[in-house]
Amino acid sequence: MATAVLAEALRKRYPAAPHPALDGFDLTVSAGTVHGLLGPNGAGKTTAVRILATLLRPDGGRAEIDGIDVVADPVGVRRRIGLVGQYAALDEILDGHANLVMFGRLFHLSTTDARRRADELLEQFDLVAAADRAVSSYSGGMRRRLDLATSMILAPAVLFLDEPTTGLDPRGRAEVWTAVRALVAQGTTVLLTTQYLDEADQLADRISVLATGGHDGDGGGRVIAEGTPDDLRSHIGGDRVELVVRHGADLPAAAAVVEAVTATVAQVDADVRRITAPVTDRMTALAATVRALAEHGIDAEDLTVRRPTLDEVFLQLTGTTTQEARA
Amino acid sequence: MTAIPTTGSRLHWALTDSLTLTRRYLAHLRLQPVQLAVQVGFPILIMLMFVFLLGGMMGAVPGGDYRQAFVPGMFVMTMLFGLSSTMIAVVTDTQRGITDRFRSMPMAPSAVLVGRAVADLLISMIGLVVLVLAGLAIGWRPDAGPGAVLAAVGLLLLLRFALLWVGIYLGLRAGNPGTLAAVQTSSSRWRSSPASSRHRTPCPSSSPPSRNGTRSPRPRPLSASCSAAPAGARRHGSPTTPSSWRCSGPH
Ligand SMILES: Nc1ncnc2c1ncn2[C@@H]1O[C@H](COP(=O)(O)OP(=O)(O)OP(=O)(O)O)[C@@H](O)[C@H]1O
Ligand SMILES: [Mg+2]
Repeated sequence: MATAVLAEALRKRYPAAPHPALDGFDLTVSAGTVHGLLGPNGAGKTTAVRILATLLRPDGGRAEIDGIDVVADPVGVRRRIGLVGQYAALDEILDGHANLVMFGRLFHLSTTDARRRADELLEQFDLVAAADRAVSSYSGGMRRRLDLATSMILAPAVLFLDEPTTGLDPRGRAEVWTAVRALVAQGTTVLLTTQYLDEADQLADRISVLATGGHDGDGGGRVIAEGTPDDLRSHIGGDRVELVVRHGADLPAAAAVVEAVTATVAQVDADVRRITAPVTDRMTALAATVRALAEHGIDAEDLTVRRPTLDEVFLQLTGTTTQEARA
Repeated sequence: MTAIPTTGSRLHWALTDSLTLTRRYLAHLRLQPVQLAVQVGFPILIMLMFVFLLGGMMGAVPGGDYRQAFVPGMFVMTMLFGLSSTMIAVVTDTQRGITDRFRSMPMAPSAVLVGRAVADLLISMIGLVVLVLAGLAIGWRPDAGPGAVLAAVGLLLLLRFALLWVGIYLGLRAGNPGTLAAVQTSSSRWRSSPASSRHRTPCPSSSPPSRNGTRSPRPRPLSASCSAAPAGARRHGSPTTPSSWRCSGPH
């Protein structure tokens, strides 16, 4: 498969920053796939995207989009990419339709074509009803969808999405995910950054996990794990069973139960009377835990199986939590 | 996937893109008539205030009527302070990420600046014409022929055009609201200075804007600028508008 996005040993240090934002960032994305860049605040996700989208010059390393070097031929790259930044980049005063027509004209469509494309996109992104309202009156989800629509005016070969669902409610997130899937179905390659494991899991074919810099003086943007969501899950032990007991006194016994069922080491958080452990088979583990708790007469307040948080991923991959890494 | 068609010369696209963006800024005015009215009306308000409210205190100006000196001075001031409206517009676009989107598109990069410059110049032209008419209405009489007056208007617009680039440059360099606030504050100080240094007190940036503009018994032009500003500033509505923006009027 052809390589749509390539980054090799990218380095970037902002003036006056204590450590490099990117310190040897590597990435390969095959054409037609979705790649997730997963990392906590300050990991360098935005920096990487800005370099790939020709908005920022790297200090070192090499980056190519469809085989075109981002530093040597930025104009060539811009013809092939769409960018949806971390914050919606729209004209707040103009209405939705006028935004799409303006950007369409700037993509050098004729006025007629720009209008036609605007109508199509409003339809596709379910914004027809809001087409004549100023963007300043849009909800976060609507803004995001219009933002996506704008970057799709010319169906770019490669689309960068920087945290497309941060700050959206579950419905807004689902709307954006649907829109992204529709784009991918048309053959667009997507590079998506996110802080949410489940988002990467839902959308991405492959995931790169980035580390924050500042830890032991090293820079950010180093890829500490790369693979399919399944690879990653087997790396980090998949889902977590989480048990909250009613009485703090039951904690040791409950931890023993959970450890016996999952055959792993459980994490105990005494303050909130919570026990967490990785599980491989969700339903079996859940049923076995319920049974064992009943046998031992332990009173449970809450029992759930959930995806690991980004923090737990980092704990597993680096032995430090994101908080500790930042401190 | 589709690559962008690049028929036509670079110059052609540079002009087309500039025109698209000029239209964008003019559409803003059409959609925000209040802002336009404040921008155009504010210098007139100041002029009326200085001439009728404070004009009596000025005494005789060597060479004739106070008005004859003040009204043209007001023209120059208005052109000067167009700088900060250019700057606000540039910083707002940068902060919203629109500038980044433009930069990631295969459009002519110069169009972002040219579009801004042309639109600002057009707005200034409207403002200047209205101000000249208002000046004539309150009794200012140019003492030169029509040719010289037109040449003077040309010079004024040239001044605005030259400063426009300073505004764009500062707006792009500033990026952070702090620098912007500094320029705003200093321009609001200057604004009050053509007649009297007594009115130099800048607006208190921490206190809420005074709505009625009469915090002291004496009429203060600067208080007027405080109360006139929020209408425009709020419509601009940048998420990071520093509180001191309130201090200066729209220009
Ligand atoms: N303009 C800048 N000037 C100085 N330092 C910067 C600048 N932009 C980012 N940084 C620093 O570079 C590092 C990486 O920032 P970046 O914005 O790329 O992270 P991110 O992964 O996108 O974070 P977030 O999830 O918060 O968006 C951070 O330490 C940040 O403080
Ligand atoms: Mg970011």
